[in-house]
Amino acid sequence: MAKSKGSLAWPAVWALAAGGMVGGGIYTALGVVIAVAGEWAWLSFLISGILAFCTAYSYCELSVQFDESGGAFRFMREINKNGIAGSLSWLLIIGYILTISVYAFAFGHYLSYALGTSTLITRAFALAIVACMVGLNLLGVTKTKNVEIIIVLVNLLALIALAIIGMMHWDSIQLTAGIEPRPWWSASIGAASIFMAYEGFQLLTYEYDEIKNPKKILKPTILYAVFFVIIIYILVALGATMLAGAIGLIDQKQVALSVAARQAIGWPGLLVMTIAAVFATAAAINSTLFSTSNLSKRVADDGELPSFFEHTNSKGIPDRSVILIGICAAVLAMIGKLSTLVEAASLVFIFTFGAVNVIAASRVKKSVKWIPVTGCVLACLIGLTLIARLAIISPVPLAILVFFIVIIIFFRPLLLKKTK
Amino acid sequence: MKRNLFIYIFISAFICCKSERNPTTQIKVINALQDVEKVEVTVKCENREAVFYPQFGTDQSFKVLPSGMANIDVKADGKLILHKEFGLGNAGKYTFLLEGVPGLSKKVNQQTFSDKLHTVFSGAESSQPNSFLPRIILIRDVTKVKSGQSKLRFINAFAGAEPLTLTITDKNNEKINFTQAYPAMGTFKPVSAGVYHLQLKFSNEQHAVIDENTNLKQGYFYTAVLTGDIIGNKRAKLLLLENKSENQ
Repeated sequence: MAKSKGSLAWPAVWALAAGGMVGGGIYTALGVVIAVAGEWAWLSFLISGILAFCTAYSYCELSVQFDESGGAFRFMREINKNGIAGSLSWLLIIGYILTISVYAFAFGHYLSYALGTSTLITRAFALAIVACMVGLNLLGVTKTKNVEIIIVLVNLLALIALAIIGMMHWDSIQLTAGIEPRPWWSASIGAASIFMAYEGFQLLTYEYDEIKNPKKILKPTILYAVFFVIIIYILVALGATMLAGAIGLIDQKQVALSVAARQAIGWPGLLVMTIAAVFATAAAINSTLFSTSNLSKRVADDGELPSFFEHTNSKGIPDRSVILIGICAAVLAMIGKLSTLVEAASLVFIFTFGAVNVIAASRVKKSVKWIPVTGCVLACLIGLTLIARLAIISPVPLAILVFFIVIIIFFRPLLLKKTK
Repeated sequence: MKRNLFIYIFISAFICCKSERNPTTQIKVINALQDVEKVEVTVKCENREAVFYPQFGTDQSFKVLPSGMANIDVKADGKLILHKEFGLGNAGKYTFLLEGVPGLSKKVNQQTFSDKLHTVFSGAESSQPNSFLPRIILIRDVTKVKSGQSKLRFINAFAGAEPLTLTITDKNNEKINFTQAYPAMGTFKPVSAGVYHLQLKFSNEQHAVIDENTNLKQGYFYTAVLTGDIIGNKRAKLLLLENKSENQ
């Protein structure tokens, strides 16, 4: 049961939800979505934002109904779908590993772009930040909410400033500068490819027990945060494109926001954006690593992961999970390609969000059923679009992901039986 | 501290908005179309027009047009083969690279089914090994180069050729490789300014197609474009396009 003595009031909940989304997503997603949707990139953020909004509603409804932390895994358990809960938890862990690798990738590239270092150093930075966050997690010094909130605010201020400066330079030709105009429906393909940029809000459902009066504040606060982030993403997508032009952001999509900030006000812009990106991605790695390792332990405690993951160190940290997740994420960040990592993570979260909306649709009041139903429909459409895109342009990563899903569904019970 | 940062950002924003915009753009055309005698490219933008007659595998000078949505018509030996639309951004600098084999094209903007799928799902990043139908690649000729350095990227515009590796060797015998299959465009690699030995080999052969020296100047960036004509037996040629860094 949730403790009513949680310490997080609504401003902190709002900041952590908004920060969880903005933390790493926009820094890597912008160039990817502009390449796909061109001048309709802003519409892509709106479409995936609507899915995020519906899903946030479903997450909040279910968290309040079950009155405990645990997110999608807990929801599945509560409705007695243990097998699906186990499979979903494994899939979610893969999604979080991909997400951490994207954040590490972004960290390395933003820092490296500002310092002008080589590709090798860029990847070394990605490795170093994951190693550093694994170390901090193992020492148990990660639950520093005030520091996280300050990072979120600085991050949001930098993005808002970039959006304002960009919008003051409004010239619609910049939306297609150097590219062929794209049809409006390409926005749906763009939405599918960057959905990961919205996944962060649901990390807060793992902190449900720490929220003060969650039944009252959770839903409105998270929904406002998602709405705010949709607006920020749309404005940043338009503003950054006004400054650097579409092809400028595509050419350097790994560091798109730094390119735009430098274009806006020169090196001070680059400096501010680098600081914002580096701290935001580091904080996002930290919180995702923390939540994922705790999820792994909880799932292992419930017998859905091998007991190997139940182990904790002297500080109560699930050390084996932290180390293993860190190693997997670091390897992906070292060898992965940005678009593929972002899209694979997006696919996992679209699938998970679809499942949460299905559960919510059967448990919410009739008058608001349309919200999770809209979420289900959008998740299906966006998910199928993303599968089609991956099948055509990145069949190998898709095949690897499908391979893991097959392993999870068919071999997970066997593996668990053996380890027991 | 936070307040000062705020004030600085908003003052900078104000200054930026007061600064003059440059509503023009520079363009040129590089012709890597195979087995064609005469190529004519017309670029129309905001009631202005620029016409190019690019020779196979040779560099051209930039022409200035207003920025805006441009219509581009490409004629090969008098027959319209490509009609495209591109946005030309403010203060932009672009090279239109024409590649493919027009003889295979039966209609304007012809694409295979696979090409179409890639265009739909990849958009601006679509570059899949195609059927050598004619196409336009837009190259952005703007980048920053660090002091004392130069930058180089390699584009394989030789339709029908196997993947190739461009190797540049400096005076200390240090090598940097750029491997590209048609029609992919590589990203910039920063290199120290100076004289380099350029060697271009097919990935599966020992014999060098191109073997020459070049000087990569500091503060400049270079786009090495490989052209060749597998049908007309024109010799493979490496075109080195030189541009000044935007911070010079």
